[in-house]
Amino acid sequence: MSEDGITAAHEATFSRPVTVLAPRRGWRGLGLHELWSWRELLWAFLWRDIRSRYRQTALGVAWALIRPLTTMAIFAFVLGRLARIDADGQPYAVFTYAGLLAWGFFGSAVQTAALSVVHASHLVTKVYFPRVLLPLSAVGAATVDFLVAMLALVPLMLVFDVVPSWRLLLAPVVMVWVALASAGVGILLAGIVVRYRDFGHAMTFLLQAWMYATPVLYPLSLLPEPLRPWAYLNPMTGPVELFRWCVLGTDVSAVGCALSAATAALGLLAGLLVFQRVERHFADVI
Amino acid sequence: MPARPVAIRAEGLWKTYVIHPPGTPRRFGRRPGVEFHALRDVSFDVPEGAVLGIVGRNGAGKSTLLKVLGRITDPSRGRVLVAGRVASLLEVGTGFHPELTGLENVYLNAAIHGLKRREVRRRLDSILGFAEIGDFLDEPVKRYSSGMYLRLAFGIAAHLDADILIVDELLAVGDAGFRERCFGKMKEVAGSGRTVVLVSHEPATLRALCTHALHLERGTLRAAGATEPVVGAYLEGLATGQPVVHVDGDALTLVGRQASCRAATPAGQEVHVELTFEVKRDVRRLRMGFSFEGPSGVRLFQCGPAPLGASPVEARVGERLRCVVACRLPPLAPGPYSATFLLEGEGGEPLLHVSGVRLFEVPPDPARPECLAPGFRAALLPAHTFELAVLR
Repeated sequence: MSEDGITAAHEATFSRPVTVLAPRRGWRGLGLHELWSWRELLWAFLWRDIRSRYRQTALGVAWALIRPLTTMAIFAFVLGRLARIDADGQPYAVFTYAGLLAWGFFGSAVQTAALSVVHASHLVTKVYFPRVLLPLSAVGAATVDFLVAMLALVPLMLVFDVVPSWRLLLAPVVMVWVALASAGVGILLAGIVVRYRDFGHAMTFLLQAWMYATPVLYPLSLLPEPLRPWAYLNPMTGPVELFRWCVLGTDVSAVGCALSAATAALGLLAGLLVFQRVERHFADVI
Repeated sequence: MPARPVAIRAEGLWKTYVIHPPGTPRRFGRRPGVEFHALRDVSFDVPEGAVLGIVGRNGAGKSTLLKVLGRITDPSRGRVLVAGRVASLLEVGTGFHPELTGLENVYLNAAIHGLKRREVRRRLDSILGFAEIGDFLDEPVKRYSSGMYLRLAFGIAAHLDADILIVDELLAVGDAGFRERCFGKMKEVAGSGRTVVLVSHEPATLRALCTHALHLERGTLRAAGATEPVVGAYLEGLATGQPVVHVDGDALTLVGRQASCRAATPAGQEVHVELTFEVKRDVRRLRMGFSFEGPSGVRLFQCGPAPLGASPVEARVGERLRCVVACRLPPLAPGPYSATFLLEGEGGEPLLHVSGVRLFEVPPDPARPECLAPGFRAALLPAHTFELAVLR
């Protein structure tokens, strides 16, 4: 064949940087360097999710306020008024709204992240990009809802005679914490759901069970004494408790928070590792 | 002469899927898998600046190869070396979000293909110039006509500036004028030293655009090299084989086919073709295109795509459609003659697209032995004169 024939046997010379595409096997790095080079797509996905979520709705972004406020009102009536749960002497409405804010962020981030890859099957089978951007952008979009829901917090505190303190300035720490914790769980689930859609179906009640296992609607002091340290193994116990401390100045265990943060970090690492292990088959099984 | 730099080098590519054919007994509620090789030991080099056309029947592995080259799926064995940035355009408007405006989708779609905002901004005028969507720029794309959607999508695709562009049947959509412009853009891209890999079923597209071709058959590489010999051999194989179904949209089926070719006068032949289709679901605004191909895929003539009868034609379930083509042609060279037809519904939606439908075979004429020579590639044998003389 001629020298420019496509099966020519000459030594290959490349004039541009070469990428090798070969079967990926075993455990590999997290590819954070590549992720960084694709950061603009993360913003684009994030922006798409935010822009499109409340399009063609009359109330628009107000939904991010309505949802947690109604949930809070229901629980405040049922648990605060009827069942008279003792929220460590704090107004139950504020107490539980703080918990629901942190949990709602986690819950919606995990839910949308877990389904993000499956819902983007038309992209996954047509074009290359680091797949982990999909669950990450879902977490990012949930962050925006969280920030909007935060707006109702201060008026609510004032109504219930809770004076906001400097501690509220630490709320962003909680936000980052919940974002990382939900990213871990969301990424892990997103990887698994591609092959086993069962997890998509199971997720609603898994998350519900998880919410009741987290001191969102009740104070940790309601748990029997010997169980309390264990509760901090739950990566969401730490941020929920810390957020309450920011809002109401309730007690919080530093050791417990460290434990919670450690499980969240472990979850994130596990999620990323599992995801990179399974993402190579996404296009074939989705 | 130094060798041209290589853009893509594939080394012993295999892609194996596990399939679960019906009929195999279930074990633990699942059928045991059977290995299916979509690609079998495929190796080739593509030089920089080449336009490589991949041909092959449905299921030959063309799409799988594109997906491996586009990094969408890993090969099962072997490897590919790609030089530079790759953009895969396996679909028009990948990732377009219906609720977002045209402009928003430009940024989104470009980002999906790895372009930075800053790069998009620099090309925005050029993209919008190509797309010609005017006042609709700030409307959600769900309100776009299919033509506007297509132009915007291709406008972005044409400005990705990737070193390697992977294209699947992109040019098979849109009206003639639009295709013409896409064609021009593709040539421009290839002319600027970038490499294009494309799949097409259109011999005319392949011949007009490609510098190289690659023929896949059931996952193996049948032939690779310059366009003409590879495409010619592929089409020749098609002409003697089964029809190739490109699109079968479950609306219509071909139920009858009659064709005849008889010598009417010494100077011509009457060709009469009748195709009957059964309508399986209601269709509106039917249009049909028909073309007639001779040995080695030479296209002799084409009718349409044109509206059927009085426009707009509607056909209902259970009705039949008949297409009759009659013409007088000069004597035909020996070999198989076949047809390609395309039926489109509303908005140019392809309903049925089949090529290589065998019509008839012209027997060799002992009076014209040159037709049987290996280099003979014509379909018409008009009465003609042919002189070769030495001038002194």
